[in-house]
Amino acid sequence: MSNKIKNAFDNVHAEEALKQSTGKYLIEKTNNYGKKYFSKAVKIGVSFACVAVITAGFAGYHMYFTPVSAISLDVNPSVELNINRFDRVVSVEAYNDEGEELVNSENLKYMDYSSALEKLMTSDNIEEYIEKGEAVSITVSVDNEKKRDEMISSISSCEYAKQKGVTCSGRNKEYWDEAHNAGLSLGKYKAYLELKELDPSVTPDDISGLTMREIHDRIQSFKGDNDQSQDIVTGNNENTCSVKGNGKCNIK
Amino acid sequence: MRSEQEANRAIELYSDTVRRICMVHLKSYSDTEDIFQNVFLKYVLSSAVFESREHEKAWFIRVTINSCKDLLKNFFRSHTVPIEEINDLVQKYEPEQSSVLEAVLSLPDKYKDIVYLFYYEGYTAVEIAKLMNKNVNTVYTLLSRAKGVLRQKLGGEEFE
Repeated sequence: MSNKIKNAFDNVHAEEALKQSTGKYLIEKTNNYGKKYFSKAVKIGVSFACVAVITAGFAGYHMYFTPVSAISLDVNPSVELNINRFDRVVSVEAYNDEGEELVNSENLKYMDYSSALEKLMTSDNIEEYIEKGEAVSITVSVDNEKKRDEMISSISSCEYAKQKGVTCSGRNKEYWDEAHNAGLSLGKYKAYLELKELDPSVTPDDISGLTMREIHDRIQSFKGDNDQSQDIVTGNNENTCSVKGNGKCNIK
Repeated sequence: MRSEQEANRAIELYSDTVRRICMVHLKSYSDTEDIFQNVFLKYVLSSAVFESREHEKAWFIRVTINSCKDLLKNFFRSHTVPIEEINDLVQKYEPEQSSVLEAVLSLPDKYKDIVYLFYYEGYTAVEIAKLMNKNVNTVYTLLSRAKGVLRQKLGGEEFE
């Protein structure tokens, strides 16, 4: 009889359909034995990586194109170089027609500030002004004092800054904003404030069309012949830029 | 989690065993399908390490029996299988085999697993006791009573 039971149960087999449906069920319930989980994880990872790359890209773009300092060059042409944290010129602004002409004649974008400034200072346009004895004002604006000193030192050590009539000075970022609100470049704003102290009736509009030499002459006329601007440091030559520390002209 | 290859191997090796235990306990194909899915999913998700094929087979038998019992514990399910439904389950087999299956399937629940394990799978009473977590003497008693019932149903002379 035990053989009969054995023979009887021997004929009982799992149906193929049952095996197949079980196989499919397992694939479904285990998300294809964890493969879907893996691919999901990979997808999530790739998504995060993409977001990180895009974010880093935007952050990098923002970081690169956000000016943290500015250099204003004022003669009669008034131009301002906006500099990013990597010392590269990211934009150039002209504050008058002569400035516009100068900016259009030189491609200064993405150059390091020393090279850009040298290009401007050695341009025919500016050299002509210097030869005529015009005052050339280079004003650096940046909040970080150490950086400001470094930039002034670097500019001051260049040959173009050692010419007669060239002065350079530094101011903080707040000053930069005030100048823009007044519609003046940094150099002219500095001269405007100096003049305003002596002549309170003067307005930004009064001086915006004047050359730096004309503004300085007005200041001198109020101060008297023997007085000098605090930013004009007299070295071997009169009215040259000061060199602080171990400044080197870092023209690349 | 076990791999798809391991799952397919287990389905090939143990699906007949699972199917037979399901037949002993269940009357509907959909219940059998549920138990199949449940048992093999447990296997795939289980981290149990089996020392041998026998060990693995014993795991499948124990899990299948427990799954069937859990399913039958459902309040809305009848614990007894009407004879007509048993006829439906076994009618596709040869008359002689059909009558044997019918006799086994109509046994009280407490005898069915023991008869199946003893006569078909060839386990000893000690092994059945261990597998089903029962006292060995209880297994002997149940086996003896099941034999008596089967003797009556299938003819005493032939039954040993």
